Amino acid sequence: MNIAVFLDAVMPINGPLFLIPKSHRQGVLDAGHDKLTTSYPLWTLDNETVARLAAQAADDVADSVDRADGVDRTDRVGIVAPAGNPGSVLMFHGNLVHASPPNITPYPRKIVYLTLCAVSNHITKFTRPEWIAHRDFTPIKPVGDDALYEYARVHRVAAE
Amino acid sequence: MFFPNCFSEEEIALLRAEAANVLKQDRQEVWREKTGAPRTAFAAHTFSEVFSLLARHPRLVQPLRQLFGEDVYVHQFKLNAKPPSKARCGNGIRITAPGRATTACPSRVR
Repeated sequence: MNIAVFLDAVMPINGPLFLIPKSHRQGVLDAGHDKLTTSYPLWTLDNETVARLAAQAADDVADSVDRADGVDRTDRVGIVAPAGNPGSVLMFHGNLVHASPPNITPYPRKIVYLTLCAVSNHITKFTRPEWIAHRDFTPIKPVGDDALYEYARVHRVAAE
Repeated sequence: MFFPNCFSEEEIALLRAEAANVLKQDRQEVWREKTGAPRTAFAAHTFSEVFSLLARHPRLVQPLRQLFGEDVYVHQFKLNAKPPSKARCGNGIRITAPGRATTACPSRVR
């Protein structure tokens, strides 16, 4: 499961994450590996697959809304881009098709992506460096809910 | 699942300050664009105490334990900077008329 913690405001203009709702139900899709577009290798789907998944998601939205209010709509879009204040959190299945456009605005868009996995479903093939795909499957022991406040308080005191 | 304002302004101020610390470090986990601008810092929870707290934060961990019905571990951690960058042609977006924007050479914008 992927978790996105917004450190900056995520807006339609500054490179938000795009998601195709329910696309995780298709399982693992064949993806290419693009090493040219950015300094970071990207998993990519072909345009036909993206178009098919988006059309399906649009139909699902239309179905649910039409059932709710009986109005016929045929112009649904099957890609969403959740926006939100800093501090907002988005959680989505690891197989959900996602992407993001470049940020050509002056506004930063820092996001922490944390992928947490059920211990029983840990990886068994180690194809990437340890610091990219971790091999320590020790269950997380959560800290206190106030851990970040406490850290800030202690270090503010220390700085004075 | 979307949780608006899950972390407070004070908590985010701490995370942002730490993000700046992490992204300026010169180490293999911090990847940069060709321009030198930081792009992604991997595994920051292993070398930053603040991010190690975030990776173990109950507001993130508990919903997943509830969903999976079992314990979870950290598979990947990355801080994705996505810094402001210029479009790769001319001035990028060119406003041609109120409410209408076009790119100077769309095939080269990325």
